[in-house]
Amino acid sequence: MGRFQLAVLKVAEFIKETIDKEKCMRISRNSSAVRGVVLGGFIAALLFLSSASAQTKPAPSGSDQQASLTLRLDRLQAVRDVQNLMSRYTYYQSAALQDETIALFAQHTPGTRAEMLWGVYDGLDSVKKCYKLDHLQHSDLKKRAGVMQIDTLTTPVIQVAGDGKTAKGIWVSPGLDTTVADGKASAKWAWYKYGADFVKEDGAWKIWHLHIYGIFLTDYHKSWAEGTQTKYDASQIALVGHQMHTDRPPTTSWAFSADTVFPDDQPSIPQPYETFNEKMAY
Amino acid sequence: MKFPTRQERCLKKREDSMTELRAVRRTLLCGLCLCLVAPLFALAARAQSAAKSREEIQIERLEAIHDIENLMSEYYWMHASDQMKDYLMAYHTPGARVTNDLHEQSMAQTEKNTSSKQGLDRDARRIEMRSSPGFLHVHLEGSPVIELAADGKSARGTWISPGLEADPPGMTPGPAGHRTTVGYWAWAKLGAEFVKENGQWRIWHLHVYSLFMTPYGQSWAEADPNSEGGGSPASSGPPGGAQASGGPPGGGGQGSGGPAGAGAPGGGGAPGAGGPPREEEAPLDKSTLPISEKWLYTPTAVYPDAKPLPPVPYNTYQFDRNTTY
Repeated sequence: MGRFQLAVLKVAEFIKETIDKEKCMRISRNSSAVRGVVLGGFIAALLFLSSASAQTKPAPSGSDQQASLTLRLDRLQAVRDVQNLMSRYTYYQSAALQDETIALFAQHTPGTRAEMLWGVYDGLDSVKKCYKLDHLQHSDLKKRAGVMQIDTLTTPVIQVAGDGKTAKGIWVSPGLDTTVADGKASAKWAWYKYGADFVKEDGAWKIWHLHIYGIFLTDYHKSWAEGTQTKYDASQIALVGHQMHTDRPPTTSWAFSADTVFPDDQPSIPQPYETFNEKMAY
Repeated sequence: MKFPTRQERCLKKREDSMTELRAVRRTLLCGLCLCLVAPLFALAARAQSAAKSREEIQIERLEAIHDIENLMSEYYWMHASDQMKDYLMAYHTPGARVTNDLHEQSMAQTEKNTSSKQGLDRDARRIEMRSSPGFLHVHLEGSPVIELAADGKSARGTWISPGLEADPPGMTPGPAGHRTTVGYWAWAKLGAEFVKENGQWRIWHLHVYSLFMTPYGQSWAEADPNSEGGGSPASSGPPGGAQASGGPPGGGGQGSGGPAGAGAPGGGGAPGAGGPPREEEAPLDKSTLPISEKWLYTPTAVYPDAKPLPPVPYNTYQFDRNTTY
């Protein structure tokens, strides 16, 4: 019985006692019956009202239940936040907004990493080199003329850790690249896969590890089955003739060709997990 | 022992009756007070329970984002089958509009047609008129960024939309015309703002930001650098030009040499020469329209600054021509 119901019963009891004190008075049987009916009605009405109000109150829950509910909701919210985060990455990259891109990465969690098709950048400082030195800059209008890179994140699989502290996600990205060499623009279909780990810093989700996997990069007028390319070449998709500032070679290098088998673990599909460990990192 | 007289008995009986009457009165008065107080207690208890918990608010916000994602997807499912349903648009909120800068005709529509229910209705009718063999309009929605206002009353979102279209002969008289059904790419980015009407989320402002429209046999890189539609910020006209340069019904120009006058992912595409006569309309207040530069890829064009910029968290919707979609 709720506290409100108990309070109502106490009030009713008090009324009854007050009325009983009038026993010194001679009250006819009829008036006693009237009092009884009135009192009973009041109690019934009060119990009904208190019961109705009790039904609208959430069932009391322990602190553990409350914490569990909060965590479940936060994990659902994390899925949305992570999708927004990665989608922003694609918008910023299309417009060469590199400072905005870097801000999407974890700023003070050890192990921040980005793996492009041409190599790996370990640590936040290297990640900054990746986007500030090895990508086109927004301010460089001359080099950006005619360049267009569009990645579209689809088919998401996102898993948030049971502890709510990290998350993992993969996407398929139909897209295109357009490079310019000697004043001539070259259009390519560029389909990739994205794998990423995320970590929460100061209440906001950040990209912790980003790994871009190839599917095919082919001239507009040649199908992926006609292409001769089996490995990605940085010069085809980034700054022509530019020396990259990677820390090490890429860990994956698959690209479609007539004699390759589609890899089933690049990236691996994230499964539900409780706590992140480095072995599962992208 | 002295027996009371008849008069005394009467007086005593009367006194007893009065005492009983007073007791009944007190009881009734007490009951009346309780009747007044008890509902107040109950109302207070209900009010306490009606105050939403953090969890309830969070659930409602997640539901809103889910509804909005479904709404936008439904819009393009309907568009693919050349349908338009009233229930998708915010007809009852002032300022509802569709802006499509994928080609000239849509820009004209932006200026003329889409600031009111009347305009949106006509868009719907025009789309219905396109429902004939040979039309194909498939537009995907990827890279979603959806932000719900802190006050929960509005939302903003962006998408990247790869797409393709086909038009039957005669309906899209491009520069050279065509005698067979033509297929072409129609890639764009989408920016949209949403409001809740009668408990349902609706599209309030929808803006289709062009990327390229090219016939299947021609890549976007082969677009004519001097074509009308494409351009860098320096060559694409003054801010707001998209609203100021509406072409004639069925008119041609569009940036990349693709078929002009085709349907566009925003739903605002007019059927070119086959369209209905334009109706007289009141001038549109351009101060209520987004500042937007028409952009289509050409080999000399500089990609625009992520227009639309994906939304960031915000408290309450405030109109700004520079940021509205």
